[in-house]
Amino acid sequence: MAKQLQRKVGVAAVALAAILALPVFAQDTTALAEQAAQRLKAAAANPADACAGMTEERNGWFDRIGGIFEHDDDDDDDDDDRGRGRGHGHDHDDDRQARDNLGCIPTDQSATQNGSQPPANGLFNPGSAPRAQLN
Amino acid sequence: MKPLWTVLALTTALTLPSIAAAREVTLTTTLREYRGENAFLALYMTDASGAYVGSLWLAASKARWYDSLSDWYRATGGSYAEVSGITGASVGAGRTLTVTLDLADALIDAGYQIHIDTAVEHLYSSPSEIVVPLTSEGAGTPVAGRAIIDSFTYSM
Repeated sequence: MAKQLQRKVGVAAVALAAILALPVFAQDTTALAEQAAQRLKAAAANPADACAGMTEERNGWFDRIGGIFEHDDDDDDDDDDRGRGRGHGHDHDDDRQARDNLGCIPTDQSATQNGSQPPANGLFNPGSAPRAQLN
Repeated sequence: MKPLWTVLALTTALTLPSIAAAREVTLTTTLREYRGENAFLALYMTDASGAYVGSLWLAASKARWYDSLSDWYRATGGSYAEVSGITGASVGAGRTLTVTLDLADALIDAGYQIHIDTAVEHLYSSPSEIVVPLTSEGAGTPVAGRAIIDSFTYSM
């Protein structure tokens, strides 16, 4: 009898904990999704701003929504990143798509924005601004 | 009044050559539909003797893989000073990279050549996959690469 009661109390406690915890998880996920949606909306409205922030935010929101495609700093095979139980399950194709959706061209850590000054190597017209586009 | 004309003539003489000495050149590179990661591309120029003159564009995401672009890397040592202001994202399979530059007129029809080195992680390293002379006659003529470049064209 006591054992049965103990089991019932245990089940009730677990259920209560789950009920209490659920909204916390839900809130966190919703907040992240809302934040990502807001950033995407802002980026769509002004791609230049989004591009400017990409390098600085490579470990922030942008990674979470799959924005930076070259962020596996380990040297293991990229297949490990494709959700086969190891790595962080991040699909590079999705990353690439997300980056392209923002309309940004230079997205890498060494990248410069369109309109930057080229090196003075004698090839370029002084004061000119090279431009690049990916289609 | 005379000093004013002198100043005007001098400024005109100084300004005109710089306007006339450059030409807008657009380099268009389309990749094949290979299976693999994004490709790194180094576009650079050599003179008539084949010596490296300077970089035109570097599409590459991580400096530690610059050495995969072997001809370009041999000439530059991967120095960031060589590509400051002319770098961008690596290029995916089937995609087209279009780069527009104001190049010095003296480079055209003077024996200078455009080179493109390509590299794809785990797959290819193709130094000087494209080598074409920069000439008025060659503008608009597509050239195919031997590995992942489907076509390269420049226009001016």
